[in-house]
Amino acid sequence: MRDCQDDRIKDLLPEYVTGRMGSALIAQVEAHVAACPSCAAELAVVRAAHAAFPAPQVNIARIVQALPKPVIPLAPRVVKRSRRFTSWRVAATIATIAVSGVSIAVLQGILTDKPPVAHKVVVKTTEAPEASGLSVGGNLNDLSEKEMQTLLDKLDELDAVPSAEPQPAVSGMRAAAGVQ
Amino acid sequence: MTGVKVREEVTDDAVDRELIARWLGGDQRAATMLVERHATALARFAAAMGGMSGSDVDELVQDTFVRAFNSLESFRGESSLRTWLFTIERRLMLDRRRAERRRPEKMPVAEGDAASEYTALDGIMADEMQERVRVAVDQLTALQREVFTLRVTEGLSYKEIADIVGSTEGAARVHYHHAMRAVKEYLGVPHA
Repeated sequence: MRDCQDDRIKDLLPEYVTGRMGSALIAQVEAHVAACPSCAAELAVVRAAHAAFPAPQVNIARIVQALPKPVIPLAPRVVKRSRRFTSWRVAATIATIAVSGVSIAVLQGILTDKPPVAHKVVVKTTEAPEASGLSVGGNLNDLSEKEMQTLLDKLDELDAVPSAEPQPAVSGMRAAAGVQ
Repeated sequence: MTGVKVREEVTDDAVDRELIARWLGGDQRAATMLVERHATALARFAAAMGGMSGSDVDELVQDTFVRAFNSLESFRGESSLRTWLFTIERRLMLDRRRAERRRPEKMPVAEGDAASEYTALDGIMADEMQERVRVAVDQLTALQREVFTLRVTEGLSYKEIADIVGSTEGAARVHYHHAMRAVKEYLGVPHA
């Protein structure tokens, strides 16, 4: 048998037999095989081999029944748990402060039977102004220039804050122990 | 075949991809359609490899689909779904053959059982030529038989076959030509 001069066509015979070929190529293959005994012989073998292995019956329904069910992805949940918790805490703090403030105001109002306003503190002294040289009573605005100066001078003389540093505890302990 | 647009692979693959997407979206009918599209080819390949009864083939095809669908979400589409299914089926067949070999006792199969069951399943009486082809294919090496069968029964390309059997396109081509030569010699057809 004369060798085929077009191996390309011989290589396409399985596609031709199995029907996996476009119509344009089918015409080319058929034209070639009609004139080529070598390819015609091989085509007969391919056809016989294709027919020799027919597909056994398969139970499609049983196969489908055995398949796993698709896992449908759920819509992604936006979880802002920590943020929500923080917001809640801020809100709770503000509410607590507000309630506390109102409660104190109400309580003060009940106790004084007055609206909770700033109190005017009046300090009265039993001593005569002349004896102490310091008179604090009523409103400072009521004082004359001279009285105000006197008051400031007296305040300067007061040594309310001790100027000396406190002795360290160690020296006290030494003294107690009789150590020089 | 290089550079020759032989078949409508793009369309086939696109249909498979769409069906996979539909199944992943919860459409059960897409699974039925996918099975209908590929079950026959898988069953034919399994039967052609020999050594399996009709129920074995049915079970193998079912296992192939179950395994494929279990990992269908991870199917990246680098090969066609058909190629991927054949790859899974081939691996399952190899596992079963190994398990068979490990069995201490093997029941002898009566002469003619396989043939009678085969014809009972497909309902087609094999003529003498087809029977001789089957005998010739049985005498091929396992790899030659796989390559030859995938080529002549499914019309798969050498690239697809190489992907399935874990070989190269060139090696698949060589295996096919050696197998064809052997079959022709057995049948008495001159090889040119």
